[in-house]
This record gives sequence, C-alpha cells and structure tokens, in this order.
Amino acid sequence: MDRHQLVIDTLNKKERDVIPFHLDLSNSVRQRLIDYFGDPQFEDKVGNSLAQERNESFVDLGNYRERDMFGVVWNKEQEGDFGVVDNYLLTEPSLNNYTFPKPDEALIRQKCERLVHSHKDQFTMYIIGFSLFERAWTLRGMTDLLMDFLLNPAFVEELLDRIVEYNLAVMDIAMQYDIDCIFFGDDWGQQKGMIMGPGLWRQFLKPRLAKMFAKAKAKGLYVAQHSCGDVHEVFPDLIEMGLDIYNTFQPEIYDVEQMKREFGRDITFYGGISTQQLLPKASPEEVKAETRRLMTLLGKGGGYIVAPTHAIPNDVPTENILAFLEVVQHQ
Amino acid sequence: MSTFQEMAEAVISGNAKKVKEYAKQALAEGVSPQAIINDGLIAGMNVVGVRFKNNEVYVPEVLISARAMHAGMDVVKPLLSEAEVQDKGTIVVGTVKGDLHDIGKNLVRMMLEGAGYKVIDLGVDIAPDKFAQAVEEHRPQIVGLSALLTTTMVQMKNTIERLKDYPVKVMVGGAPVTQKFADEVGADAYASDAATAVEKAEQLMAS
Ligand code: B12
Repeated sequence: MDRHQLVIDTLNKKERDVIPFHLDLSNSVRQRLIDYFGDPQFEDKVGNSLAQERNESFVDLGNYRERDMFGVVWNKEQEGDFGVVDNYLLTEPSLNNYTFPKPDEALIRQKCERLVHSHKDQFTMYIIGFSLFERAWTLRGMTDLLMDFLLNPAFVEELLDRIVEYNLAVMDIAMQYDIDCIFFGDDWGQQKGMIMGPGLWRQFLKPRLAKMFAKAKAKGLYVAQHSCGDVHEVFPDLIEMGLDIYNTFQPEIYDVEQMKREFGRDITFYGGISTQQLLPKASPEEVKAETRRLMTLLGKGGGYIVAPTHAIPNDVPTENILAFLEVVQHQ
Repeated sequence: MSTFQEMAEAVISGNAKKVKEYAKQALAEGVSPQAIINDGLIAGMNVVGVRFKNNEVYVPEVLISARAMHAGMDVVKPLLSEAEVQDKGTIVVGTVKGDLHDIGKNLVRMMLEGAGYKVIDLGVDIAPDKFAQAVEEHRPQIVGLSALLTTTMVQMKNTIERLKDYPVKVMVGGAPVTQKFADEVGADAYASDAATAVEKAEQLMAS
C-alpha cells in the first residue's frame, strides 16, 4: 500500500477505506517496546504513515543534564523526554548578552537525507520543535516571558523575530530536499483556553507563524502545527494562514464532533487517541473501541491521521499500545 | 487622597509603580495598613480572579496583577503590628513528586496570596515526606497539591495518605485532575482553576 498517497488523500479530504496512522512514542516507551519485540528496528516495521526527523540535538553534560542548540541546559532527572530548564539565559528583557546560534547545517542535511532516502513510501515531515513561544520561554523563563508580553513588548517582538529568522534559515536548507511537510511544534494551550489568551497570540505569534507557514507553502510543502491543550479559539486564524494539519487534538478538551463539523473541511486532525484520559487507564478493549469510534467519526470525508495525542508516556501499559496498533494495522 | 478604588484599579491593570505610590500616599494620609491590604490590594486581586475564571483575562494579566499587588504589600507589610500579621490562614502548596509543571501552581499561590493567605510554596517535585515536614514546620490549615501528569497524579494519593494523621485539609488540582479523582484519593477539595481554588480554600477554612 502506498502510505504516502494515503496521507496526501486524507489531506485533500478524499476518503479512503484505510486511515493513515502514526505511533508517537516517548523514549522510555520506545525502549520498552524494543525489549518487547526484541527488535531495535521495530518502529520501522509497525507501518507508520509518517516519517519524521527533528531539528534538534543535545550535548550530554552528565548528571542528567543536556544542552540544547540554543545553549539552554535541560534537567532530565524526572519522567519525560525533555525535562525542565536549569538555566534561563535571558535574565533581563534584552538580547544584549546573548548570541543566537546558526542552524546546524550538517545536522539538517543528514536528517533530511535520511527522510528522503529511507522513507520513500511515507509522508515525510521535518519537525522544527519549540518553534516560537516555547523557544522564547525556554530562553527567558515562562513567567517572565508572559509578563514581558505586557511590560516589555518591544523585547518580545525582537526575541520572536530572531527565532523566526533562525527557523526560516533552517527551512531554507531543509526545503532543498524533496520532503512533504514542515511540522512546527509549540504549545499554547492549557486544559481550558490558551496560556497567553487569543489576543496576545494574535498580536505576537500569529504574524510570525504566518511568515513561516507562507515560506513552506510557497514551495508547495504542507504545513503542520502541534500545540498541546485547548487552542480552539485560534482555529479560524490557523486555517486562514493555510495550516494543513493540526496535531495533538486532545478529545478530553475538544468536542470532537463539533470540531470536525466546523473545521474538518479545512484541516486534517492528527492525534485524538488520548494519552491523558484513555491510554493510561482504559482496558485494551476500551482502547480498541475508542480508536475505532474516532476513526469512524474523524475519518469521514478524509482529514484524519489517527495517532496518540502525545508521545505515549510511560504509564501506558504495553497491552494498550498493542491494542491501538491492532486496530490501525488491520483496517 | 487616592481612593481604594483607584488602588484596586492599579492592581487590576498590573501597574506596580502606581500601586506603590497609592499605598505610600494612603499611609501618609493615615490610612491603616490593614485597610490598604483588604480594601485596595486584595479587592483588586479578587476582581482579577473573577476575570481570569471568566476568560476575560489570561495568565500574563494575572501575573502582572500579582506583581503589582506584591509591590503594594512590600510597602505596607513592614508596618503591620505582630497581631495584624496574623494572616487569614496558612496554606502550603507544591507540585507532587516527579512532576515539574509549575505555572498553574504558581497562579494558585498568587491568587491565594491575593486573597490574604500566607502561602508557603515548596516548589516542584515534592515527595510526600517533604509535604509532611512542611506541615510540621508551618502548621498550615490547608495543603494544596498540583499535578499535571497522569504519571504523577498517583502521588496525590500517596501524599494524602502520608498527611492523614495531621490536622490539615488537602486541596488538589492540575490539568488531568477531576472531582471524581479527588474523591477517589480522599482529597477535601478540588478546583479546576486558581480563582475557584480561593473559593474552595474559603470553604475549607469555614468548615
Ligand atoms: C507548559 C507545559 C509543559 C512545560 C512546563 C513548564 C513549567 N514550568 O511548568 C514543559 C515543556 C517543561 C512540559 C514538560 C512535560 N510535559 Co507538559 N504540558 C504543558 C502544557 C502545554 C501546559 C501546562 C500549563 O502550564 N498550563 C497553564 C496553567 C495556568 O494551567 P494548569 O497548570 O492547568 O493550572 C490551572 C488549573 O489546573 C489549576 N491548578 C493547577 N494546580 C493546582 C493546584 C491546586 C491545589 C488547585 C486547587 C488548582 C490547581 O489552577 C491553575 C490556574 O487556573 C500542558 C497541556 C495541558 N493540557 O495542560 C502539557 C502537558 C501537561 N504535558 C504533558 C507531558 C506529556 C509532558 C512531558 C512528560 C513531555 C515529555 N515527553 O517530556 C514533560 C514532563 C516533565 C515533568 N516531569 O513534569 C502532557 C501530559 C499528558 C499526561 N499523560 O498526563 C500534557 C497534558 C500535554 C498533552 N498533550 O497531553 N510541559
């Protein structure tokens, strides 16, 4: 089966009898499944419709500390893949004492080559994670950045502009390859409503996202955006900017039916299988039933990639992952 | 003199400088520190809490209001007599073991402070024993537990268990937490947002 075409069709709202899927895993669960299958390469064999590479690399500093490409040190002692920031670099609302990195060209080329050569029949996505708001707060601190929106708007504008500049330069290199999609990751949502609210999002983030989206679109690439939490207020904005794929789509947050009705013609939902309310605590039978329910509901008329709402965390039993796989692999 | 109304407005708009000025001015005019706190600063924070709950303002606005309120507190607190420092009550808050999310917990702290409580913030990744230690040290009436991950929610149960012999009420919250879960683990109260957390705290204090 041509998994690539399957994704393209769903993006074009063409219903097929099979729905594309993707198994997103956290590192600890990946390790657990490698042991379970006895195969370090099992992920290449589950049948994922998507192939993804991330624009990211870390330097291991020992003692559970890793430094990212922007110089931020992450403490990874606790549960989770990226941990929390140890050292906020912008202690003042100013860029005077900070030098922005240049894109790591060798890394981007290596990852894009892998995407185009090893995943010929998959839909290929280059991920620019922490693409705007998150990059800004990992440098400045979330609390300070949120206050800066109101107290030091000029600084925020400058900081965000520099981040966009970096991302555009990354895209320049990545888009020399025959990839399908640029996938931006940036969390704006909380369980109910947006962290910074739709007003500040429109003022500070939207125009810059629009620039990045437009660059990809101009080259004929698809654009995907990840945000955890509840961002329904800006769906019309995202659609207006030409967004193709929205990722996470937490069903405990959205009225799935209504969202499909309202936005399903314009956008493809990628996610939906809850890592918050379903996968950790349901029985395998319930996981199967819910996966089927969402596939029927969201797959109608195309526009759905079935997947967990987040990289599956460690509290999800292996049986539930297998239950998900059984449904999506045997359509 | 500047009215309490103006001081409250300055808290609401997050203007720390103005709040400070108004507080100094009011003191110079002989207004009692207690009145400034209750009728100016806390009154302002109350409005912010309601607007936040109604999605009229968002986290950034709450943060700068809390900062403005603190600027006012800094002016008047040193002038309070020993007796007056008797806060409304003491609340210990923290994010449970294994969990590092702290924005929600910080907002809850700020709103509780804004409502006149003395709040001891233990930070993130707090083990049950550490909560118990803090309870012994600070003798709070309420402990507030925050968890944002399904993997760490179970620590709420462990913490409540650990605290069961202390005369303290436990309030829980965080994205995955529900009233049902709160009941299951034996929490005394649950709140879905920081403004409701204040209401629930008032109820717990009264009960
Ligand atoms: C920002 C964020 C982060 C930031 C946290 C930064 C920080 N300093 O806090 C970072 C990037 C570090 C992060 C890391 C991770 N995160 Co996170 N994160 C979020 C996100 C997007 C928003 C949380 C937030 O700050 N909201 C804003 C505040 C204001 O809201 P709030 O916390 O809900 O608080 C309000 C109420 O809940 C309540 N409340 C909160 N605490 C309390 C306490 C009491 C006593 C009371 C009464 C009320 C109360 O009042 C608050 C104010 O109104 C959520 C999405 C979501 N749906 O919530 C994911 C989310 C919580 N994260 C998630 C995950 C998986 C992770 C990681 C494991 C990711 C990874 N693979 O590494 C790590 C874990 C790190 C760790 N060990 O803790 C998942 C959890 C899923 C699950 N199974 O539970 C979520 C739900 C995203 C998703 N798509 O599923 N995260």
